[in-house]
Amino acid sequence: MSIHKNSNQAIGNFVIYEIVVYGKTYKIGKADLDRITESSGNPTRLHQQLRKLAEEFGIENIDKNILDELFQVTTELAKEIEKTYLESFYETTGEVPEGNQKSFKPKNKWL
Amino acid sequence: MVMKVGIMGYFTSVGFRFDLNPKVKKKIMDLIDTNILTPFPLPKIKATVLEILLNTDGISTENKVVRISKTDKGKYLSFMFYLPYPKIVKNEIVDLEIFIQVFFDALKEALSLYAIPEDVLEQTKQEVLCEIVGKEEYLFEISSEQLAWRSVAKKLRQESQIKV
Repeated sequence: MSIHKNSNQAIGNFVIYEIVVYGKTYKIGKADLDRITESSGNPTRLHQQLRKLAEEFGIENIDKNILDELFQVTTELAKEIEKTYLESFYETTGEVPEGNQKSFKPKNKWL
Repeated sequence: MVMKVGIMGYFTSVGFRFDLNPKVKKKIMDLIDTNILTPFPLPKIKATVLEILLNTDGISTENKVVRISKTDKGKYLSFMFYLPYPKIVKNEIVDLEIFIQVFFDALKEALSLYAIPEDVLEQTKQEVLCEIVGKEEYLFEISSEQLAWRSVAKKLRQESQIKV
């Protein structure tokens, strides 16, 4: 029996990506190894997100970069690495990227 | 509705990107809209956005243009431009003149099915070169904070490779 794709023990190829808006890191996230489109031909969720940001901020002000490639790792390990990037970003800049603020709370953040 | 072009960085190889001032992309977009898409609307295309995704594999010395859109019916007509990193970037700085040259070579290939006169493309390229090259306002700038982050991210990448 195969492991459900959303299970933390599922193995996959992941990237840690960064969305930059107006030259500043807007979001750090993880995604399945960078597909340009889904097999259906539709844009990936990430691409749709970028298009939405492009409508809001102007497409010329949006960039997507790859910070890391993780081959054949569990979802759980990919999440851990993603969190490491977010914690390090917070330690370096004193800020949580705007696009991560709803879901990420850094350790030792004093209110 | 007149089609407009949009250019976005959509880099898929670790550590490889083109650091461009957004004003460069905006200037190229404006001149493509004015000189090409408005007077020469693409025939039989319903899309209102010509979406150009800038990318590179970091190694190749030639352009590669990939059409992303599966049909002609959606809102976006999308192309991925894989541009040659070794030609464009020297000492981590984008050579804007070379970037513009190879970008327009890729654009010519992307629009090859749509009967845009070659002299119009060439003229637009020359106008872009004249507007951008050698002008300080189009140089790439990065904050000290983002520079520090890039250095940290590079270290993290090295550490994660050991973990993985």
